[in-house]
Amino acid sequence: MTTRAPAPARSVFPALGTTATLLVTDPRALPDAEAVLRAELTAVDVTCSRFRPDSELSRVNLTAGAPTTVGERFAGALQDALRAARLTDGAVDPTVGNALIDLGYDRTFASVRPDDARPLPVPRAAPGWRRIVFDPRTRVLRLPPRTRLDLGATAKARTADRAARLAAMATGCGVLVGLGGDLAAAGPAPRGGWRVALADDHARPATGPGPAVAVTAGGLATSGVRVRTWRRAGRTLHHIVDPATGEPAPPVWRTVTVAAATCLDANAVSTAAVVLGDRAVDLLRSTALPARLVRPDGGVVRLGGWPPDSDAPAPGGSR
Amino acid sequence: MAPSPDDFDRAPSPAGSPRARDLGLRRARRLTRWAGVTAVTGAAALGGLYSHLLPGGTADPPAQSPSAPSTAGSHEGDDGGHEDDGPAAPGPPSQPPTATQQQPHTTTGAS
Repeated sequence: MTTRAPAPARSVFPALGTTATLLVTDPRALPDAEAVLRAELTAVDVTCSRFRPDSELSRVNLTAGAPTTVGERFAGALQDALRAARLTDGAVDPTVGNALIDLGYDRTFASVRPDDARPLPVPRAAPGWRRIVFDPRTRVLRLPPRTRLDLGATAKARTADRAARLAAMATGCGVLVGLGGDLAAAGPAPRGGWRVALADDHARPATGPGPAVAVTAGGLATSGVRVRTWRRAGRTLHHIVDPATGEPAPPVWRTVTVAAATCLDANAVSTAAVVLGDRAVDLLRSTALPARLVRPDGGVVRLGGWPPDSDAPAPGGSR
Repeated sequence: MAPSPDDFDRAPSPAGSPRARDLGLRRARRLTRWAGVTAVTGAAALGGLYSHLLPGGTADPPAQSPSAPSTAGSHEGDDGGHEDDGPAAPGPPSQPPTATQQQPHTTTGAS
């Protein structure tokens, strides 16, 4: 569905250790939509942040091994993380918290030591999402002993979905929410759709012509291994951990971009594709989702009806 | 297990003597104490056994009552999404992405 609205209005600001981007088809709706987005960002931060000692996630991680009751919002975020794990057969697993800490990602990324000479500990497989015991009715959760959850990727995607949907409901116009390059669209899209440039790093779009696509609704997510990197013991590490090994996924793909009905599903599948490496194509074919995979040498694989690369101008405006 | 009162001293005394009366009273007190201890330990053992045998029983009760959940968040559920496990497969977009030659509104990329 499209409208004859003027050019979308935009707001861009830092959030969740990355960039929040808000676009609305009706410029008059921008303040209300932004209020919705900021409320969602605040709520997810106090609920799901791994780096806030006062977050509910930090409290839950301290109770690993014993039953504890979680709040409604945390329960929703956990269920989404478990859904991502189930959809990807565990390639995306919320029990990788300790693996990330072992690798050195034990504080906000801005504070991670960029070149840490300390030796790496012996990697350990994640405890596994199937060992999480959670009753959605009572919201009683029991993590395996000594397990730390990391809800980072799925919580961010969930927030984009929720904020876009709630802002569209509140304003009645089309809304696109981007959190670190993971996008969710709701409401009537602008004519021709939301136009999105494809880049390795969402914060460093191409300065010249490059591929771009138009989407009208749902989610679009990109995962990659060339951002959020640091060095440890002479190795370059990144934040997408293979739960089976506890180590960063091998760089088979530079980026994987997936379109789905929700940002959550798109993010789960794009992250799983990075983790699975050579097996990603089989996963993506089984889902039939439109996807674009870029090899380290720049070679591109398109699946599920992803269109051929275009040559759009560089994105305009700040981001 | 508490010792049986029959295990205690049985030194013979002349019937009707003060010593025989004291011994009898002491034996009665020990019998009472033995019966009490045996009843308590037996009840505890049976309780533990039943808690494992009955359906839903557990030896490790929740640390917090499910009837007293925390109150994080107030918007959960008002969007109609993510409230249950959802479909077993990722949903496709209503329309697949299409190529565009126009200037993009924003960028997707890793973060």
